[in-house]
Amino acid sequence: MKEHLRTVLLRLPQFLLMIGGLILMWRTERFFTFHTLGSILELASIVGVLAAGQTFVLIGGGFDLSQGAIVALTAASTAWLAKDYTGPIPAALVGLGLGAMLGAINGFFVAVVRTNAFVTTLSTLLIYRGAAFVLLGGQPISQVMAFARLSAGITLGRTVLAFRAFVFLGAALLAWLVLRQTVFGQYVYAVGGNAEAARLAGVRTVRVRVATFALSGLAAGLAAILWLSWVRVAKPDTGTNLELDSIAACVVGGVSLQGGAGSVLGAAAGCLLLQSLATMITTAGLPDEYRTLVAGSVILTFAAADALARRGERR
Amino acid sequence: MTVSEPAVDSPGPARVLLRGIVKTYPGVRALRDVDLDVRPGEIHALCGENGAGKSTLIQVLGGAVRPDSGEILLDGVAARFHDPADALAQGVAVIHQEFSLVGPLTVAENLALGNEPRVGPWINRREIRRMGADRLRALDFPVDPDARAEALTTGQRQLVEIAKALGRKARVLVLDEPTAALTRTEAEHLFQVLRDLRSHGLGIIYISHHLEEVSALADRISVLRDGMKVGTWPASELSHDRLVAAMVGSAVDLRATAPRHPSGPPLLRVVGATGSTLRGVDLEVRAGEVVGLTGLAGSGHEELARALFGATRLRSGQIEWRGRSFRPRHPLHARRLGIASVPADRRREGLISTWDVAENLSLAILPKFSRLGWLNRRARNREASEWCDTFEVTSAGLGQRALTLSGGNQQKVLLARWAATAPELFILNDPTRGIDVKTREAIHRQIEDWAEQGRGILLVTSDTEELQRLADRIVVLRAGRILSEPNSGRDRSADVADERR
Repeated sequence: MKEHLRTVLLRLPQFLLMIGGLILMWRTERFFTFHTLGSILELASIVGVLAAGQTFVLIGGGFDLSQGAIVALTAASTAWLAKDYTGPIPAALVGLGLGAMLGAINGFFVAVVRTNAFVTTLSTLLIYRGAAFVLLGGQPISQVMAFARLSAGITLGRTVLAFRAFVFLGAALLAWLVLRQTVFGQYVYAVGGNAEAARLAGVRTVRVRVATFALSGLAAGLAAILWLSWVRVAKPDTGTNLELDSIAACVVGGVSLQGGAGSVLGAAAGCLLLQSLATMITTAGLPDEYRTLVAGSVILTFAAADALARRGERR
Repeated sequence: MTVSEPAVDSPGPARVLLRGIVKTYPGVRALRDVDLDVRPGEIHALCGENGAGKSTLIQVLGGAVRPDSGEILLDGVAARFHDPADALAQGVAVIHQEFSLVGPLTVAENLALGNEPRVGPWINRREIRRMGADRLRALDFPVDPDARAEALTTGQRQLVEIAKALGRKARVLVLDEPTAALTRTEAEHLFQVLRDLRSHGLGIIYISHHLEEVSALADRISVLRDGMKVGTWPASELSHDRLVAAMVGSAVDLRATAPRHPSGPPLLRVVGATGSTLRGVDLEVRAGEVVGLTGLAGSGHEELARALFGATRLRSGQIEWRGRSFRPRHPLHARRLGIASVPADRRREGLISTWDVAENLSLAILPKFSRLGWLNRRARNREASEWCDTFEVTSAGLGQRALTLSGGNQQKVLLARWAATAPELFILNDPTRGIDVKTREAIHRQIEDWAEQGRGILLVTSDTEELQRLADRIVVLRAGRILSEPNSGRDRSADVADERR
């Protein structure tokens, strides 16, 4: 009972910010309509899928900066395959597999070679994006219609909610269950909480860590498919900065950068919150430039609130 | 061990006098009307079980916690501390188990930290070096002033901490479990340093779970229990048993066990183990026996214990498990065969800091509760709760963060984690380090019970008392080789004790 109260108190700043956000939304005209909410869900889907993957890496005590570049490389290869060679499903499977493999390469360096996660994924960001340039020869592949069906959707009243949104919800739910309800998920928390203790208890820490990065890559592969279904173009600079959006979503959602704490639902909620803000700014008629300004302030506020809560915890 | 010199009697006011200190936390009366006086030139030991109020008392004295009521007098003058820095400025230095040195800085730079001599706006490096070297020389501390703090041994770091405190003109020095991480030689040197400082009129408060140390070093001993002071006695008048009785509140049954007679083939056999510190060691553990493994730090016993569990690899040598060759490459291999290893450093190697009791307890048996990787939390919590009962873990519930438990309860959680795997061999590394007397006794009994059930136990410890009490045989390593293996540990333990000195 006391413990519960404490948890609530520790999260109080976040709750207050959420409530503040809701009030703002309430005041924004025509915000609570199927159309607006549906479009938020749709727009958030790509970053949301990435954030679900990033959550595994962060909770395992890592960091993945290469997600956006993996999106570019897998989008390029998937588009190339789907356009001229195979049907959409084999192309998608190859894309997902490639994403997982590129992620596993990150994991190999971090867990086996023991390079720093930040440096490793910064390097592979450059390598993967460079590879996307080489693969595409600088030319975008456009008119990729193979995944256009994901843009269709279910009709709710007068609006259509694209299947993309359901892919995001499904992926987030699955990721949440895996992290929350499986032995592997527990091991991810253990490795992030205290890797040496986990190893000495018999946890295969190296494998767990490689797996978290592979899952992050897999999520990037899925995000690439969603991207193609939406934009229908694969370019070398596809997905630039998406990794920053996914990390921001995790931070706002309460996933610890120290590892060992957080949840996929939190990350998904963080992602939706950031997207709602962006939408509000657009509907309020403010110029787009304000979006980054507000997003940055919100992220910093959340991080500061979390740090303050932690300070209380230590006493 | 040498007998302490008599206390320097001085008629003047106490170096520090605590009067009627009361501190209440929600639901806990941590200190109830505690008095304590420390004379100039005295080593005053503070004993008590975990939770008796020692740490709160030190926090009050060091300015980290403000008491609800009561007063503090330094050399007869009332003092009031706003924070630890304020206490330090007024002459009270507390040296904690976790050190406060800045790793990448040199020893001299650490000594000058916050007080650097300057030339105009610039730091005077030469002067920092000279002052540091002078101070270490004056104290006769064998530490290189140019060495980086992170490169020092634990014993040297402790000395630097003391030098740092003395540089701030400390009149009262408080040491919290200073020998917990020291080798025997380092500890002996520390005692010599403390005796020197005593002769210079410093008031020293010394907290330790190690009762032998306390009896040998202290002039007087105060015992706390349940937030109250039981009493203060001259160390020479307080026998070991009486001291324990004062701490626990009732006589402890230090029962002697009948010698065990293990038979049958060895569970574990090691032949010619070499590694980074090991130089060829043979070892056998049979079912139902307790084998003590000990030595000075770095003698190889730590490495051997880790290698047997697959936490490091041997360079060469054979390990046999139940007569079969065994090359553990990961702790998981050892765990699957029925070997358990309880680490010495609970925080670093044992507990997952973000996890609660149930999660920490069940870490090594999670696959048991899963179907196709899916975790059955209810079954897990049920089993965790049963183990908590068996080991008498005192907690606010399965959901309490394990790191917020007392040291003794943390250790019980770790013992339970491994007992739950139903191992045939326990490798126990310093199982009672920094643990209160009552829990220590409970753990010792648990180890005896395990041996009686026919499990093998390899007890890796630097605690001579513990070896004497529990081990059937003691293997002492020195510089990676076996020094001696007396046939019966309990009879020949005096020799071992001598070697450890």
